[in-house]
Amino acid sequence: MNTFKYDEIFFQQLKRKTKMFITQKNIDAIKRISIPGFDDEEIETIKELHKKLLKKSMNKNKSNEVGMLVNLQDWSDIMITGTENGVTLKDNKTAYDLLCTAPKNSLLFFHNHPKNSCFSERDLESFLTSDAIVMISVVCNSGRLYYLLKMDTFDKNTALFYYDKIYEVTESGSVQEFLRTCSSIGLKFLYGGE
Amino acid sequence: MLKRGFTQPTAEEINARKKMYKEAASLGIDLMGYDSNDSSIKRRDRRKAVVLLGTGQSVPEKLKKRLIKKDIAQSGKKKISVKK
Repeated sequence: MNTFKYDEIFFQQLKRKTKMFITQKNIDAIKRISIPGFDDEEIETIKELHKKLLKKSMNKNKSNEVGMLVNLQDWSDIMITGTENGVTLKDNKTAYDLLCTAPKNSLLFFHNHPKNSCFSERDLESFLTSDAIVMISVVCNSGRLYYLLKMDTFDKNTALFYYDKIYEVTESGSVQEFLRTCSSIGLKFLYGGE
Repeated sequence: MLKRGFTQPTAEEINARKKMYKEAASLGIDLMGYDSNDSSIKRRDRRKAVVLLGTGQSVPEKLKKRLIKKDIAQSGKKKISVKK
């Protein structure tokens, strides 16, 4: 398990106790990451959408959270502003309707984490229970990116039971453990950038 | 851009999604929310409820009561901090 120690350092050393204010340099630092099932043009579009998201956070939301729901049917997007610690789609009617009525795996959800942390428990729970969302990302205010993608073998029920099981085995550090082993339930965890 | 063939969800599937979100909300769980809070806090009850709702099962009354109680307690704490 050589990757365990590496991942532990990766997850923990970047997290801050206070919000990081975004600069243009952070936005420029966002890089392309290869994503299975997406072509070059789409990967470039995804990179640009993350830049747009951080720019909105920097200019219009005091570097707090911004969520972006992207419809893969036409690549249209909806942006929602949140607080330093979270963002919700429930108060935006268009986003709410899309989550309820969009085809399976037809949406992407991106959001930033002002304290540069990786996925939270709630991120995982909202993602795993949503049939419509095929991929979520966290873009840290530093520009670092984390992606979690549902692959063809993903099954919601299996994934949720696995998620619960992980927490029965290890309560602390379970998000890391989940992300480290999530390929076994048809999820792909990707990270990079900055 | 890749051409993807999407299948529109059936009315039954849409209703199941709406039901899940509604039931979660009634327990103080926002399944449309994403946050960056520290995940080290133990939230076993919430997690159990999410797994049950997400897999189409109903949440036992005992668990419902605990979740609602927690939600009220948390709301109360927030109100106190605002007054200060």
